[in-house]
Amino acid sequence: MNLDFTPQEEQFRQEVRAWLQDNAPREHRPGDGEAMRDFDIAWQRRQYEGGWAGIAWPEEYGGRGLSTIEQLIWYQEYARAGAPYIGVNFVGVLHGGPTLIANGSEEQKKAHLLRILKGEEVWCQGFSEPGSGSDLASLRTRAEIDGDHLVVNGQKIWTSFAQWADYQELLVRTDPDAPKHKGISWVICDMRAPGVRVRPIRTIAGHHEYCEVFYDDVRIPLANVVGGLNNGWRVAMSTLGFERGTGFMNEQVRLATDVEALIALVKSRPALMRDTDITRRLSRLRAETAALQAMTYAGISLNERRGAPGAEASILRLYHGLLTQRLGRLSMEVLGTANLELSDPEAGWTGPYLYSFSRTIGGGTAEIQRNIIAERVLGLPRSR
Amino acid sequence: MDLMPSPEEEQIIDTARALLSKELPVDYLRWEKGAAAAPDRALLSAFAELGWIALGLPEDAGGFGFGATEEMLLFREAGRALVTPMLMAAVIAARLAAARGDAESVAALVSGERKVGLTISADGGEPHYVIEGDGADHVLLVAGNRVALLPAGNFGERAPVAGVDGAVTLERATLNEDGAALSADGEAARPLLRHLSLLIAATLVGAAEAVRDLTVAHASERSQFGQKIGSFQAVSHPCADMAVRCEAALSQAKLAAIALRDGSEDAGFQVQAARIVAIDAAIANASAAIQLHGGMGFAAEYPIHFYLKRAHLLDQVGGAAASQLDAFFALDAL
Ligand SMILES: Cc1cc2nc3c(=O)[nH]c(=O)nc-3n(C[C@H](O)[C@H](O)[C@H](O)COP(=O)(O)OP(=O)(O)OC[C@H]3O[C@@H](n4cnc5c(N)ncnc54)[C@H](O)[C@@H]3O)c2cc1C
Repeated sequence: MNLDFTPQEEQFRQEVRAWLQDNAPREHRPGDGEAMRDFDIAWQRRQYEGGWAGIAWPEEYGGRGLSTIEQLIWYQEYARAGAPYIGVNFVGVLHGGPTLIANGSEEQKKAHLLRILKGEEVWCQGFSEPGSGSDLASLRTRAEIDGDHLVVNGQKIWTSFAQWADYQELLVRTDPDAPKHKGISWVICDMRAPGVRVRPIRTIAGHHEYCEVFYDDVRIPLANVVGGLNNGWRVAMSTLGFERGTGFMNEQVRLATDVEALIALVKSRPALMRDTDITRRLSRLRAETAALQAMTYAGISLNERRGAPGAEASILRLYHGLLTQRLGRLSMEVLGTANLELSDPEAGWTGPYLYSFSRTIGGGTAEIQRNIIAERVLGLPRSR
Repeated sequence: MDLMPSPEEEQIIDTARALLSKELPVDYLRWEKGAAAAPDRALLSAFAELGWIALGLPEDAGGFGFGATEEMLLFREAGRALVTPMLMAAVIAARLAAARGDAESVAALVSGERKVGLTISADGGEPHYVIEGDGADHVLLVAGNRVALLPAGNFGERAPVAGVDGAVTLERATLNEDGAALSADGEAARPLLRHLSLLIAATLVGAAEAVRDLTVAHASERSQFGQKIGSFQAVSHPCADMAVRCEAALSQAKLAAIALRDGSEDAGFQVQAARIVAIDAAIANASAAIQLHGGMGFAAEYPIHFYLKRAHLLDQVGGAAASQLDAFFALDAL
């Protein structure tokens, strides 16, 4: 066991640090609206031009072809530099793109990957439906084959940033007669196609982060099916693997910065320093945040040996979600009356506190993560 | 960067696990004739022969020159098997002797010839509690910022008391002074206390894992209402939480061991974090395990309670959770 980074990795770290120092946006990231979208896209573009987009993506699709370790170094430095949340590029860069790399046809890869890295294509994820959340495989949005097209009718919900997206990773039912996991397809949906209608929904943190999406005879070329017709469940599991695994590396690293910021705040106020209930809870959170980082290292080490993220990603995801919520709760106590003022979901304290409630819902709820851990990590009998 | 054990580290784990599961199965019968008669004592010399006491000592100090990582992995196995804390006491005593340049004591300790109990007291005051002092000729004293190795005869008014952890002997005693054989205070004690905390964290990781495994096995076997209780989420979700706590505590203990081995600047920070998450994991997991075993969980004949009690015992060695949290909070950010 070791924590040594190779000379090449250290060199890489120095380059990343220097570049972020000069290029990470200093200005406040707008929390909503077109200003937010424009900000996120411009920052993505700048990263691409600097050669830092798609560090672990293959070179032939515009990436750097490096390992998860370099990816981790990037995120460590990213958090250290206080660089902004990835925002509208989350889906494209962190799981849509990786899903295409793993499952897409050559044409699909050529059409989208480079554009995602350059910030020219924003993606969203159309998985959840009004009737299908945790039980994702029960989804009912249907797609019928008509010549060389699919015709889609139905509805998705909670689709983050759908109002800004150019494309969508869309799960549809292509075989209503097959068992529920076997009749699903993962398709690339053009959000500008006729018949797609988007209605933004406001979150408890005050922003229009997610949306309802309606499909009314939307025609999608069959060539947009990824990983084969009726094979969408397997592709979706690979998407969720990326989303729950490497997709959250950034936030895992970022948590340590936030915990230290709250500790510094408490240390600057003698009255709070005398409150051992606060200081001890914060101290425990600090220790657990250290453990989260160690778990991230352990997870990467396992992936490097095994070649793919496993069900253990659910452990990290759950632990991170719960820690983030405890940090948010503590910050509300520490802030005193200043906690009456609402900040953006990604800045200050009250916005992140409210946002933290989503950390055990989005990407699979805490209960679903526990089911996965119980059944696939511990081998317990299936729950009913 | 790699947190998976290397082949040599794997070998240490395998040897320890094989030996301990054979020789020291966790069964109440092991302590039925009293802790002093437990087979652990007889095996201490065998452990010493295997090099377990000298494992992490530098070769020029009479050790085998392995690192804190190997020791951490070894004590995780010891924690699973509830090995007497005399092993831990001997390892730290040998480090103390080595730091003081006392080669003779090092030799007596690493050969297992000198048997070491463990004594704690709040801030050096009375009473002193002597753990596993019955049958020990020396005692490792851990009090405040001091670590010392004393002949057992330095303690007077020794009175056996019933202990919460019935798998060790416990006495109250007064420290008669100090013809202290070997002693380290303040700054000199710091590396020893840090090392001790790492071994405690590792032991607690093993305990947390052991009760997780017992509970998963039980939940997969036991049926009620016509189904395995593990299929009830009110059972399986606490099991998942146990797995999460184990993963956190193990990963952090590994990271801390590496930092300590490499002499990294953040070693103190990482070890203290490891100790904090490990004590929480051990106590929370054992508590959940008792609940999920039902009536069995409350029965002395079933081994889970030993792990809970051992966790509370070790928590008191070198500063209990609250003081660990206070000290950890006082540290600067990395
Ligand atoms: C901020 C945010 C962003 C999101 N972005 C997207 C997105 O971009 N694309 C997308 O497709 N979806 C997105 N989602 C939706 C998210 O994936 C779902 O909300 C989630 O999977 C839960 O589904 P649900 O809302 O239908 O809740 P339900 O599944 O109805 O769950 C309700 C409650 O029941 C519990 N429950 C359900 N089944 C079980 C079970 N088997 N065992 C135990 N408990 C159970 C749940 O844990 C939960 O507490 C987002 C959600 C949030 C909060």
